[in-house]
Amino acid sequence: MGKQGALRVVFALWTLNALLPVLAMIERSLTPGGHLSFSAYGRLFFWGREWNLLESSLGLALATAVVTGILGLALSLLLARTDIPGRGILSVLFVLPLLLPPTILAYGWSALLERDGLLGKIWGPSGTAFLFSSRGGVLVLAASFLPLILLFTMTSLLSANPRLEEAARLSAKAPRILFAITIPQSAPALLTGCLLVFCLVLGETGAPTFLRVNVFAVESLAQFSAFYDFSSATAAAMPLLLITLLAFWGLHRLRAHRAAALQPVPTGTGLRRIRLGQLRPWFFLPVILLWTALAGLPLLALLIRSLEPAAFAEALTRGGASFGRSLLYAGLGATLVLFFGFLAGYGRADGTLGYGAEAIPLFLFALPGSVLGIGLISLWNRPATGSIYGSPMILLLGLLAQYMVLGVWVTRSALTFIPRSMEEAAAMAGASSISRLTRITIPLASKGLVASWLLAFLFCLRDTGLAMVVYPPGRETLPVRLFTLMANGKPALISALCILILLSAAVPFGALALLFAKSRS
Amino acid sequence: MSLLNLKDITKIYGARKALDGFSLKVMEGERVALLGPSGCGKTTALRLLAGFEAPDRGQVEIAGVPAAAEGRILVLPEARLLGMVFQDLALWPHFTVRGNLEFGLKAKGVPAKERKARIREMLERVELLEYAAAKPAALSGGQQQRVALARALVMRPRALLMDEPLSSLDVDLNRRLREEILRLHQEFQFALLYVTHDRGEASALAERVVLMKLGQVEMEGTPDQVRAYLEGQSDYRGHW
Repeated sequence: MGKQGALRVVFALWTLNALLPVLAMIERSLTPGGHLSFSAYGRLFFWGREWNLLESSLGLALATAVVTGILGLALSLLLARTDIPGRGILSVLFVLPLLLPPTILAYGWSALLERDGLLGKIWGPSGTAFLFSSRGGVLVLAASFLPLILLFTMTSLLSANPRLEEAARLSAKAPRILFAITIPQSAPALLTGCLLVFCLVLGETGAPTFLRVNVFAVESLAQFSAFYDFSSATAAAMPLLLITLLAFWGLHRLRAHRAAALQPVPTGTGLRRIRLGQLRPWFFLPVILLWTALAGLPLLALLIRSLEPAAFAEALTRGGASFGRSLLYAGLGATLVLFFGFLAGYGRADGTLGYGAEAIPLFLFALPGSVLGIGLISLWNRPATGSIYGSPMILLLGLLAQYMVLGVWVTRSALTFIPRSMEEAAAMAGASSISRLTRITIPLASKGLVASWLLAFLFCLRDTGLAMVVYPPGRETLPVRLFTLMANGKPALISALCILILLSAAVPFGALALLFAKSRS
Repeated sequence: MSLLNLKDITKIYGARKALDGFSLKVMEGERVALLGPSGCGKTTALRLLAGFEAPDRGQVEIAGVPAAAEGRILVLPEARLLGMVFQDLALWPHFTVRGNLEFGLKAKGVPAKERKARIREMLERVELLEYAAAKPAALSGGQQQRVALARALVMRPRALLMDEPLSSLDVDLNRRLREEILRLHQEFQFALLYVTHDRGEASALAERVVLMKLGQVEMEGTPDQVRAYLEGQSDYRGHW
């Protein structure tokens, strides 16, 4: 089998792992008693409550996507295309919330607004009334998912072809160029980011549950874990699956139209930063205040709460095993993502694999973790496959399905900088395809591969939606342990666990930031 | 009086001197080619004239007016009334062909009726009227080159700066577009500054050729004089 065949087989294996659970879920929802029936759907959607939940979820997702889209565009322009002071540090600070499950930010906000909290003393009960409402949900989820928009839009702004703006500078002033050339160039990236935020919020269960916002995603989880009604659980997951599919179909049409025309240059050199002049401090101030409000204050509140004597010792005693498991599963998950993601990205870059090699992983990334989890259980909870269902293997397969897109993206980005002639020269020298891959391409893309592993590690570490559904008995991860403790655990203990998660993510995040800074310099 | 004037320019990027005491004058309506190998500073000279960069030392003048000097840009690119065709063309992919031509006219406040007439006239000249509603990605390489030319010329620039726009084309298309540039020059009488590393292109398009080496003028003259000079230089033989 040649190189192309091997790449196709690897991607086919991943696709089977990712899509079979979805198909198994559909099959389970349609065969509640072992034969074809729509009764699970009928039971579920007979009551108006389900429709109200769906409406509430769509409203929450849409509002969060719009808020993050507007904030994300403005911030991306400021951080990527102006000379605002401290833009490097600001970029890192704004991406920080992505390391944490949204539940932690929600908990941080509640610590901030409770009666004895930093802001609770000033605002009184109106603060908590705001937080434990849909508007509070939008605030917390926007803070959590804003980094996604920033990553997409800033990357697009930084890698845009500078000549397109220079051509406009010969006849137009900066504001017109910004709106007519710069922003439209980044519009596909912004839209993709907004769509991902929409889908991820739609599937989010932890933060809405904590904030007592009724959402549809909790429904299938409740049917599964509270009522043990697996058919209804799978049926309840279907609307989210369909909405995600629909959203991606729309995005595909939009991007297919624009992507053919938009060909950013890989170097990104020569981009002109807009000089803010004497206004620099006046732009810096609201940006740092925004970060403080969205993430800085809730994290500070958690830190203050965790500073009780013995809080960290108790956290390690009660959560130490979960912490160790989280690191282990995240490490293994990231390694799987790196292997499959690299090969899929490589196949995509050299044209062996088509658009599906990016679209299917992206769809799985946007699919709610709880939905994927229910699909995995539908597939593996059978007598013949009990060893997978009852072991961490099921979680690892889920992490691979959900986060492989990160490996594909980073690989493609890394390979952009390696001329095709490098491998061609090796071929002329008589190197086999495996030798070309292992001795030329992989060493040249090594920094990208490290970045890919770190990024996947971070996402696997913070995962809650998938782990909550599929963790094997007695082997829960730290975010799951934290979520269960939130119901009745001591505030100092929970805060200490939150800080522990933040610290465990900070090390790979710091390494990632350093790697990125080095590659840009 | 010269239209474009680079006076004793030095431009440094990091540790590399792109231009080193470089001077150049281009008169109204004149056709000049900047000829030299990669990295000799040709494109830097063009970018200084366009106003994208400021010289570290020396002065840039446009129609006798100081436009940039000693690290400062005094006249912004949009106020220099120059046109430019980029090496990668830089056609705006989200605009149609008409949109590409209209952008600059709108920015300059040209009334809608006049805009329409000028765009139509220019597209007719470059034989692309029927593609007015097409996006650049839908056009062939040669058609894209003509859109880039039309976009620059529709602004009625005093001078047209061209940065190796034909380097990626096949021989036949390259020849046809050179003829088209000459025809448009005849018609609009703009000054032309053409950057190339191709001696044939320089000879075909310019009445004066400036030969560059390591950021300086090595010699200048008519295409025949430059050819004769190069033939006497052993290290140039076979390169161009």
